[in-house]
Amino acid sequence: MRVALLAPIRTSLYSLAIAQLISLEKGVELAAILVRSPWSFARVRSEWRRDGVRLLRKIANKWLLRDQPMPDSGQGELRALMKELHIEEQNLFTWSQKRDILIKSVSNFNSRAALDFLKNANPDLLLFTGGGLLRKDILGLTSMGVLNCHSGWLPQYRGMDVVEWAILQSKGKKPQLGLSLHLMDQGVDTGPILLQQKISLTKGESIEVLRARMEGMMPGVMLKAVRGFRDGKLTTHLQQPGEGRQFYVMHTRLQAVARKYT
Amino acid sequence: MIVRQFIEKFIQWVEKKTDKTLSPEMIKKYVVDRYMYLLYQFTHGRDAENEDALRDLYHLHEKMISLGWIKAPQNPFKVIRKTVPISLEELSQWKTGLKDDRVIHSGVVMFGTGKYLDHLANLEEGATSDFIQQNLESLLRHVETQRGRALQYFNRRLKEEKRWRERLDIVLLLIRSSLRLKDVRFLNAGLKCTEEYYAYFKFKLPGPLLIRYLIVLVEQESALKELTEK
Repeated sequence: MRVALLAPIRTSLYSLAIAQLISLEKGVELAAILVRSPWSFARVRSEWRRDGVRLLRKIANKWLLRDQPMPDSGQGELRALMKELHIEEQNLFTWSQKRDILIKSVSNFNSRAALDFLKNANPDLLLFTGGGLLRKDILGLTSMGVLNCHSGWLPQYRGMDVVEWAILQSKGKKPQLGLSLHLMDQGVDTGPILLQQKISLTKGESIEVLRARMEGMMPGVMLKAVRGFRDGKLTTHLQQPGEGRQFYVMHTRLQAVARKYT
Repeated sequence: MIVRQFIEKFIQWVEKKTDKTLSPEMIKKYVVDRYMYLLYQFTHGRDAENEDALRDLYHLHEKMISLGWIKAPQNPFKVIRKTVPISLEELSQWKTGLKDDRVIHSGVVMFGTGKYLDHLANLEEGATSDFIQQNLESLLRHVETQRGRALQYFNRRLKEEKRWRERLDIVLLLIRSSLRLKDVRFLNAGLKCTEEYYAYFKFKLPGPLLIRYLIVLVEQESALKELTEK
């Protein structure tokens, strides 16, 4: 089975961890990696509109300070995983060049250049690790589709800040937290669910620490799904139109309320 | 270490400069200050005959009392009718004018959306009807994804004052929907809108439009209290 990886930036630890795990997996070949270039006006504009000033922290943690992240960057668990997997490289380009794997940087995953690159690599399955919305051309490119690991319990929690929303809605009781591995479609987190992993909030655990813990688990969940595809052992749960709700970036005043419940 | 400290300080500086967050204390002070001025203007001044504005002020006063922002034994604003009824004919005419039963098409919002959807949702079982639910979700998505560019275009040419009125009516609809449906997502959108609009209303001269903005703020604070403290 041939897979290709879509990465949001070349220094994504999450993408690096998945690339390493896939490359070590029998019966699965990592055929190509497509990286989204951060240096495009359209990308910066759309991410600024969505995240606002939070984007600065994201850039600082993931790109500028990748070797010495901020305490709240949530990268601790992923770094521990990197060590465990003996990943020395900090950059997908260096990593893939050492292993002779095709890699390319594009401004947009939906561009002609991106589609041509992927067609040439001929994967059976795409693994999405971030980098914007995907349109129908790329979604329909492979026979098996595009996998995404969503950091929320589907179908109830779709969209953004789903960890915070689940905690807010719990009002201090047990929040509905988990990772959901699903196939992507044109909706926001509306595609068929393949795997889910429940996560409990540890008493006194901050949202940042919780997110870091979840991020450390995501590569493993993605690998489980890839194995499931390889072995033909996955069952699909189709999300119904009325099921679940879409959530958006949480206002700081509501975030403050959510924090009280941790 | 030094690099990290420098970057942290720079980010904090940018966050401070771009922070539009209105704290509860800022909102309370702003509303109470404006209310005091309006109290005089509409009980003694030339605007004392404006029935619509007086009605809004009556409600503003009631809300501020329930929030504990002011103490007053009696509502100083005298109104003949506390609400303005909307006839079924008017509602029906508006609804019939919608294309595919949708209040928003390609970013263009139907005139009267806030007022009529709010009224419909208020009717018994109206809030949970498919028509209301789907249109509320569309409005929510529009406001959340367009942010500062949301609610810019209406299906009619409107003067600035009327455009702002339409926007405020929609934000009021979102805030009230959060209470009706116990769905904080709508309040989330409302919070973002009121902050976005503060730059326009901060120095706005007291008048009917400002009163409407103050009502949006007090209903927002009231909804926040209701939905997050209980």
